[in-house]
Amino acid sequence: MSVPRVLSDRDDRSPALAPRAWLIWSIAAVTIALLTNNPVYRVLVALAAVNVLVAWLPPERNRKPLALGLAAAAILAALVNVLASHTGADVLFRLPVWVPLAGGPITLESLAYGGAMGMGLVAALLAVAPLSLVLEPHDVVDAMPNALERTGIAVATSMNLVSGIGRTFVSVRDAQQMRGWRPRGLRSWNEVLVPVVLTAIEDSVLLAEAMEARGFGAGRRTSYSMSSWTRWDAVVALSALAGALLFIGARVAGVAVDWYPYPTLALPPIQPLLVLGCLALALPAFRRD
Amino acid sequence: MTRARAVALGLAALTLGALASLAPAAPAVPMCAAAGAHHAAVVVEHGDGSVATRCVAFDASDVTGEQLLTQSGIAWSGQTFGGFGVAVCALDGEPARYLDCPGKDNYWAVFVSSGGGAWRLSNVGISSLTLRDGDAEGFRYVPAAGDPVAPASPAGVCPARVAATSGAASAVPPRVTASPGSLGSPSIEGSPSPDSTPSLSPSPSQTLARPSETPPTSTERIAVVAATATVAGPAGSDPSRTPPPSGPDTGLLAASVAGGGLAGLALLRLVVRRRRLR
Amino acid sequence: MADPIARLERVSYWYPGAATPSLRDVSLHIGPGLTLVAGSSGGGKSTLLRLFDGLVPQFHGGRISGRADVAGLDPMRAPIPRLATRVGHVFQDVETQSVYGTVEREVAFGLENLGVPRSQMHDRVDETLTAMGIEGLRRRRLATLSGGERQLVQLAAVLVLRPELVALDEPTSQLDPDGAAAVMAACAKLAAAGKAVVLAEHRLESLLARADRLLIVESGEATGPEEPRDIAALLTNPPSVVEFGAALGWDPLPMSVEEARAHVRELPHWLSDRAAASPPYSWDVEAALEVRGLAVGPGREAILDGIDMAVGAGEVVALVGPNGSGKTTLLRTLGGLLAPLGGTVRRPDGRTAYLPQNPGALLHLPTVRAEVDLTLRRTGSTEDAESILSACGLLGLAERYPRDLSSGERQRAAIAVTLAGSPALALLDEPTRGMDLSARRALGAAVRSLSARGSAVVIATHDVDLVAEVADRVIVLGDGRAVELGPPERACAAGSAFATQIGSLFPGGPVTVAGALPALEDHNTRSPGGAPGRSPGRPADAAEVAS
Repeated sequence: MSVPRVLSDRDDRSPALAPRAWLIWSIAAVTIALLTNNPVYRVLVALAAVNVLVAWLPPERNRKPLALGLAAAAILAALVNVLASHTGADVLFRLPVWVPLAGGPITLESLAYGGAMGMGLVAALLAVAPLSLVLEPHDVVDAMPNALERTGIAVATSMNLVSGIGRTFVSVRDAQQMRGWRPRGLRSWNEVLVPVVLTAIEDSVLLAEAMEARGFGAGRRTSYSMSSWTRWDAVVALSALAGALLFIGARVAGVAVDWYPYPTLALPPIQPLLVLGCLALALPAFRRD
Repeated sequence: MTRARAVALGLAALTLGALASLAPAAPAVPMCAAAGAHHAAVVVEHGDGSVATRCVAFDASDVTGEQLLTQSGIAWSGQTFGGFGVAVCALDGEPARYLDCPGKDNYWAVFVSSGGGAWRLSNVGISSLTLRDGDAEGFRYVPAAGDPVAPASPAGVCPARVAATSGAASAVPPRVTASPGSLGSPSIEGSPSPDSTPSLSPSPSQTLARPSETPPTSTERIAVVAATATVAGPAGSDPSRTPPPSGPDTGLLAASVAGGGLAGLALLRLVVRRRRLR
Repeated sequence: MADPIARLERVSYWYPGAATPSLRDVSLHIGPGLTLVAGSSGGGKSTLLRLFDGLVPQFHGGRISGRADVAGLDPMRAPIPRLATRVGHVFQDVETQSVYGTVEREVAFGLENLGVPRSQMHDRVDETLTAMGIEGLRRRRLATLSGGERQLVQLAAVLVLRPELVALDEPTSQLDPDGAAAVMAACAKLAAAGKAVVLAEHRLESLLARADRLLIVESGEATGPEEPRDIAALLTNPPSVVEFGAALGWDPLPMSVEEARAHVRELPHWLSDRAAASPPYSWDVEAALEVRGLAVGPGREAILDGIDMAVGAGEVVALVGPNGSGKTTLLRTLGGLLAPLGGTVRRPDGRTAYLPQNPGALLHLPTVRAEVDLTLRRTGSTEDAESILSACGLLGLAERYPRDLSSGERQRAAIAVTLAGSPALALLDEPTRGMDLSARRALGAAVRSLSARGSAVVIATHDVDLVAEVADRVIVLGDGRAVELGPPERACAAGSAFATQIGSLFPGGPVTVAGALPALEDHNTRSPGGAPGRSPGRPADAAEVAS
């Protein structure tokens, strides 16, 4: 396994894998992650996506916030299920019944099911992460089929605007703090959030004006990029598609794809072929440059 | 290029093989010849301890739990969940009315006894259960939390493995008559009439609540998280068979190897990359 | 003038819902060459530029009357994409103009929109990048470029469509002097090549001499385009030499320092001697803001180190230096928004006021007065809003919704809002971005009022005229260090990187118009006066210098 060439941060970071292959991979991975609630498959999809991200992400930025965010989302999803669902054979402990929604027995099964849901969220998020973290905005546009090209541009420009909103937020918060504002409860954040939203709206109008002044919206667009679809791109795309099709086929054929831990916790059913389908998602991690 | 080509060929072969193997296989079990040759018992124990039992005869070598319950003539209503199959919401008039299926406080636990053995709790819906001659299907109305207690023994419900005459359905007279209160399903009293030929299709006397798009609401009270709510997929997926017993073992092995491999690979890359940067 | 490329006949325009027109009965011709558009903010410059490529009235709506012809098309009716092939428009803010993330794709965006075949696209992009001299930036990501480079890319992005008229709306207002110079050089080159370049700007110093024609737009009415010299006297925001020349009645008015020098030779030479004799001032009031060995940086790496600085109560210190030298980071650290990476910062007791870049973003209350009142309440001040409102010239706008004001007015409002309540320390980050002269004067007045009340003021800016007008001391940042340049008379004198026009005109002498005129009057009336450029009795300076 070769360590990927470290790309300069100053230059266009379009990856060596065709954008459309990335898009197909992402869609296939999200499909698998959401089509089954079996935590084993979801974990495998997440691991495959992590491999891909580790192989392709530029190293300079601090990835901890991303990892922490994902962990938080997963834990939150799991907690919601644990506290709201009270079925299951193995009771861990009991909350007083008068606690709204969460009162009652807390069972191992609901914990496990919540964990599976959290895993699904994490896997889905990791599957779409490369579209924003690895690809350049223009890659997203290039990846779209011709009919959706303007959607792609909307997505790409929104990515630019979002980073602007982040900067505006910091600036406004600093300025308001120096004016004597203190974050004291939810209402007080109005003083920061309202200006940020207003500024974001104004900025988006400015951008729309600039885009229109350069002819956007005229009609048929052509694309600057030359599609460099290689055999490896085809392999990545097809294998991801094959994996997704395996899962869809399994579901149609009634092979147990799901996992229901109620009433007693039991090991999820695992089909070796479906494991292979998940593994196929790890192919993009083997870079060819 | 060669690596790419090899991987591509391997994947293509595997995909084809997989899709072929997923096609429903012809049943290998020889069919019994005579009609009504096989029997399985149905035992229903209510929350108050009262028990209703049936012995159901069927032609084919195996039936699903759903078909068995339908044939037993006991009134029931159920709901289909994705890959789980059909869950029993109300049985023999209990609960008279329900909002959640399975119920929040009490629900119908399903047990299976193979060839007269001990009751074994089922983790799948009755449409995913396969029962053969001499098996029994048991239901008990249990509290939602805690270990479900098994219902009364199925022993003696069906004549022990004797060649049954066609159409004869011996049954312990039910002690409880089904009340007409349960969601419009007609009440059934007494033993099933001898001339009703057991058929394998569900008789029209059932009301099956099959809201195919409904995601599992009560048991899995999921909040906003989109993941599983949309998982329902093609509703009422045809229950065909439970996974082959050898599946979980090789599957588990495959999953562990795959997961371990992926995790290890990711860690390795991270370490190498960090060392490179330093 | 050669054949005009754009013709306007009695055009009047009202923005949707506006009671007063933004353009009143405007008739003019625009021909090839560099046409400079000057005027107060909110006076209609941007509206006029938007008319050329049809954004007004097609994108913004509203009511329009009159006739217009731009490169053979009617901007009121022709579809904007068609107009885009004849007219290019570059806007003020680089961030909200970019669609893609890389230079090459950004330049090609317009071609993609118009459905140009791919092979042609590549050729045209190559051609434009080479013509603008930015071929080396081709693969770069926009976020890694300097402001000046980004505006050059945006200019290339409109030039690739081969327009005949290029309108640039304050393209340099957010750039440092180097970036601004690069953009202006590109414009001059375009004009020389025969395109009609219409450039709207507030800072006219280096442009007046290069412009072929000057167009003044005030309150919706246009004067010109004419030879700059002929109508420069009508400018409400004239560069210093023009103001100076007008005050002295020179004819023809000088358009640049070089032209002014010819007049200066006629003035008595003692003016320079007089200025040189002024004694250096010293500061003997205790330091309000004290900084020792400070290291600052946005992350963990320090971009400035070993900073020693002291600012006394009532003193105004200017921080100058190129973009990226750390001015904003230093200000944020001084204000306590960023932890120092080393060293100490001791702030005075009382409130610290901080004016960020793009200060208009933080306004959201219904009236300007409400915003000022909020600051006064929050900081526990007992003052009323009138003093700061009048200092910033906002009494007439106090009941307006701040986000509806023109950019210069909004900026003034933000300044009033931030500086209300006599803070002990005031930190201002690029306060004059996009400001016209009247707003800059208002800012100067506000700063002087603060200083008179004993606030210590630190201003990070490129604006050398502001520095010359209000600063007591100038500190330059660069290469990770801070170097003290002394008072503006030294820092903005001839030969310095931050020289003002007047400073260049009078080596060793005054650096502002206000400083040069009294000396002349003084001489003419033969009455005693104070040192030029400063009122008598200024406090002494005891600040330390670091290097």
